Amino acid sequence: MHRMTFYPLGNADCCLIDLENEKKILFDFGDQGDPDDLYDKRIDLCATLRKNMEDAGKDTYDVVAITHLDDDHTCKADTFFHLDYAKKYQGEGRFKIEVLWVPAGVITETRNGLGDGAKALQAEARHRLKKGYGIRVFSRPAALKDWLEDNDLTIEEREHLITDAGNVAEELTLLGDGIEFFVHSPFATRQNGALFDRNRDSLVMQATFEIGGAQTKAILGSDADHNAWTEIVDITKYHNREYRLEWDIFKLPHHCSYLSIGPEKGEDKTAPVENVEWLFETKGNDRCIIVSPSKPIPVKGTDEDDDPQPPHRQAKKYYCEEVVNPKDGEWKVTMEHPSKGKPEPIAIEIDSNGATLKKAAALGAASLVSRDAPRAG
Amino acid sequence: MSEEFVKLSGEIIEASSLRIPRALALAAVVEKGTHPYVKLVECRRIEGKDIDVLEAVVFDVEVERPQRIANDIKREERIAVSFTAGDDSSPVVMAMREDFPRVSHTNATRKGLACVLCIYDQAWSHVVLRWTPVAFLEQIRNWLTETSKGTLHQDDQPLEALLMNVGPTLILPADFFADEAVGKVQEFSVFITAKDDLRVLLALKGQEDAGVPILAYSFQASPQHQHAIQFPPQNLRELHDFLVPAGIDLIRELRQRLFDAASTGNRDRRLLLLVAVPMVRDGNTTIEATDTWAFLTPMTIHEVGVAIDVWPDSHGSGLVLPGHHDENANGESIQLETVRPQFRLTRARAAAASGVVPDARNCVAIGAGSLGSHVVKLLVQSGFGNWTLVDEDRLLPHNIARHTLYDSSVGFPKAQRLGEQLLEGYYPDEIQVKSFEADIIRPGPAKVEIDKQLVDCDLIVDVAASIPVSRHLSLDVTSDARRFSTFMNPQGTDLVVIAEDAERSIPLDCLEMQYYRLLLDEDSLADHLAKPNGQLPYARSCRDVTSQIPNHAVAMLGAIACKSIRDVSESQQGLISIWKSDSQTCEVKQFGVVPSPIQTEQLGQWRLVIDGHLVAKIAAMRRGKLPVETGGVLLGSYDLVRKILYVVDTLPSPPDSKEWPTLYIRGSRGLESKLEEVRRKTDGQLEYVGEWHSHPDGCAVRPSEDDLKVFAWLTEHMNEAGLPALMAIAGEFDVTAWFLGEMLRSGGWETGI
Repeated sequence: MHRMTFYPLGNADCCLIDLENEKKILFDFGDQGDPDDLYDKRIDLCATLRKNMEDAGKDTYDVVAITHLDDDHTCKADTFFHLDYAKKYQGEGRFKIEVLWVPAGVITETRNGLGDGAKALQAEARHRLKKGYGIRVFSRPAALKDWLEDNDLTIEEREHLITDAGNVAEELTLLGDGIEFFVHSPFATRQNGALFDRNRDSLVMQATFEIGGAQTKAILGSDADHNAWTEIVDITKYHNREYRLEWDIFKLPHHCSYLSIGPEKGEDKTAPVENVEWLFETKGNDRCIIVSPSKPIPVKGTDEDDDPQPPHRQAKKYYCEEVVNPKDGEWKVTMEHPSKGKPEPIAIEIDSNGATLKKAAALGAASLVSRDAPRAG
Repeated sequence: MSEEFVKLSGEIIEASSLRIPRALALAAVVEKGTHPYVKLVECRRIEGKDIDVLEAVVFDVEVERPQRIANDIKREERIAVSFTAGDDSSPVVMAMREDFPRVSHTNATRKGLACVLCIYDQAWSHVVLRWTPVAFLEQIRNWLTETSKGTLHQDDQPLEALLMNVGPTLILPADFFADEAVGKVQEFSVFITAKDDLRVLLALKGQEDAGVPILAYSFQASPQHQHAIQFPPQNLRELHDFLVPAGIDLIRELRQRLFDAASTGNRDRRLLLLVAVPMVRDGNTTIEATDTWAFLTPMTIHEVGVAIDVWPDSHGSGLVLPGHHDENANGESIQLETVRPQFRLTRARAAAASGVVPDARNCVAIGAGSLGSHVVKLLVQSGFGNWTLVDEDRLLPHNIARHTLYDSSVGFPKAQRLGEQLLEGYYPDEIQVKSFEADIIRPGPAKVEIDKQLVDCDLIVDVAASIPVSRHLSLDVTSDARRFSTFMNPQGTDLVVIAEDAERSIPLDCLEMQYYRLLLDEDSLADHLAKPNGQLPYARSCRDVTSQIPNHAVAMLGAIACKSIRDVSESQQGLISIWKSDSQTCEVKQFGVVPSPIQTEQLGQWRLVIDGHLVAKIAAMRRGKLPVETGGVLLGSYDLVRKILYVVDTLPSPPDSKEWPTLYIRGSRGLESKLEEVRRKTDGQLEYVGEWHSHPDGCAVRPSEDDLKVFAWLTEHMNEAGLPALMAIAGEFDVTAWFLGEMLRSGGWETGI
């Protein structure tokens, strides 16, 4: 069986995919919790993933995908990974990356104020692209032309490391690994007849799992907003590839922000734009699972509800009432599962019956042996 | 949740007001909120004058469930659990959703009532030992998860009956649905087995006093899928509707049959309807099982006839013609009680219960003593054999202590009474048992019939515990059937099985000899044939003693013999096996040897029998000593009646023997004590029977002058005992020449490996 694990990180993203063939894939690394703060309910991601790797007896991730360089997707990556470009990111206890997946923006972005994790990952991505190994950049090759020339390289020399939207990432295959990743974004759109590369776009993918002849599809939505979805849907329809937007599991973009659904938050429920409605209400399968990588959804009239930042209860209401409930599906918020008081990672097992959201209740002895005992005097 | 739920009765109370401890404990856990996947809905109490107090805890539970489900279990299900104050049975777990699917391991008693989940497959008394509210919740959650996946009822589990656990049990004859019985009217009397207890009803064929007379109609339906039926029908109309898709027009059939029955004057009987429904697994067409439903009417045949308009008036005179029946007389007014039919044990099901294949081969059992009674009873109980029992003894009081027969049989022939016990006890419609009160060696007038049984049977089971009987069966009885002999050692701790191969290439008497050799070879069997310590007198004569053997040992070893007979029957090989038990711990250890092929030759008046094991042993001893000669004494057994000499073993050359390249003088140091040991270990069955020595390579196995002198010396001494002299010469190429009674220079009977 395959397994997806989403971690309670507040408004931050990290998803671990364990394949049946024991390969490990990591999507984003937003370890924003403070392990020294007893009242911080966010999980210590570094420690959790370290234990996971040690239990599996591994020191290398087969793929690490960084959807974009925001802090909530990269925080503390500099402390966790073994990075080839600099000695100070190497040594005992760091985990290697076989192949790093990034959108072109990670290479080309020149913004100031990147976090330490983002900076380190950007440097590593550039290092690997320069050297020509262990990386896949998602974009039209032309988008990297200037950067490559600045580094005395040509597109031809690096074309094999670049994958355009509308294609499948080469590293993993349905036949060999029981999974494939189709790239929806970043993509190029035509504006005034010319192709225009939207460098700001983050990585959006559809993962298709296959096991026992049955497929299960997951959309890893990065931080795409309703405009981005509208474009993705249009392009996908244009190419008659609607099945590439089918989903059984949806990792919500941008921590349950209303902006991923439509332009107006709405009083109680966000109204979707046409393409978002199509994507969620017609492409989701029965008993689907939506995961919101976010803080608990605020209750109406509370301080949290006044916060303009996501998550937005109006967005949740849309997802639940129009998508999850009619499909008898599952709605899961990373910081609410299984309870707001004690959030735990969300585990989804994928086998020939499709996806199963695990609901193990660790009570009694099971809860005792899963952690260290308190100090005895 | 927007689903419709079944309505519950009783008053809603606070969780803290619950009084039944388990209800209180469950509600506390659910209410506390520590379990992330359950939410309390409400608690209820139902009190009434004549009923035990019931308390129910209702909660919503989140189900762990795959996306592709086999049964329609929702993400969240509402569950009600009701507890009784008496705490004498499992809490009733109900799925409250009105359209909760009718799946395996559920009970739906009636439409509109909640579906009851069978969450425990163990008795409540067992469950309570480790019952906690949390474990209970997990059991329910697991039930829902497995059911959603369709894995609660495993593929290799038998199909679940369509109608379960409803109504009383009705026990019917095994042949109720025999081919010729289907569609026929059968007459029964139904009895209750305990006063005022209607849980089990017994149907006996024919009309008997004190029973309720019934007429049974049976139907054969077309194959149905598992879960085809959701609820037991409450009346004749509902049953009719259920049977339409199964290809039965019940009302029409009944009208026809009652019409026929009307003339036979059976109208005061009650009506029993039985329907055999062949079942197929979902998605399959192979019939895996037949589910049988039975329904009793509280009304007489006459009343039923009136209710479905068989007769135009309530007096039951005249008949309504087909096609003219009253539309409203559709059976709705005829209440049905669902009863659970069970059929008496058949040979096939007896075997299935033991996990073995039924086997109706004909067997003759010689001996119906305590071991024999256990062995044969166990075999029949597990569907093995049709039996002819031969035993000359009457059952005496002391026999009862270890026999399967009872005090009521004392004084009667064992064979006859054991036969009756088997016939009454197990699938009487199928089994064939014959009994003969006779001594198998001198059967008297029954000889012709017994001989016929022996010729016709497939297996002769010797449980007579008598060497003469074994030899008789092996040598004097004409039959191709394999012989199987089993007996206990004198102390009753060990069981011996010696069985012929299917070809009878090594007959029972020769196997017996090899069994004795096993006793010599295996140190831990040294006391196997030792006499028991205590003997019980059971009558006045000094020969009337019986050993003190615990009955548990007889039952235990009898059970092993039963298993062994089955194993042997399924194999072509012969068997020599000893199961030695520790009388204190009952630990059992098995010893055995592969039977060795025999070689036999008539030498003068005598038949000499040797086997490959011995010839090989002699050849190996010779080779081990080359270039010098060696030899030793031969061990064996005489059958002086039939003039047979079995040679089975040899003792190693005594240490004071003279072994030269052209000479062997067998010494005697320690020989007497060795022979004494042989006698002791084999209870005198093996003894000194002759001598052998080897010749060097390049030298014929013909007697030398010296050999002739030795033979003369042997002959002189053996003749004193009335026995023939035996000498063997072992030579090159592992050839051994045997001289019995006379030694000719021209040579003896030569055997090889």
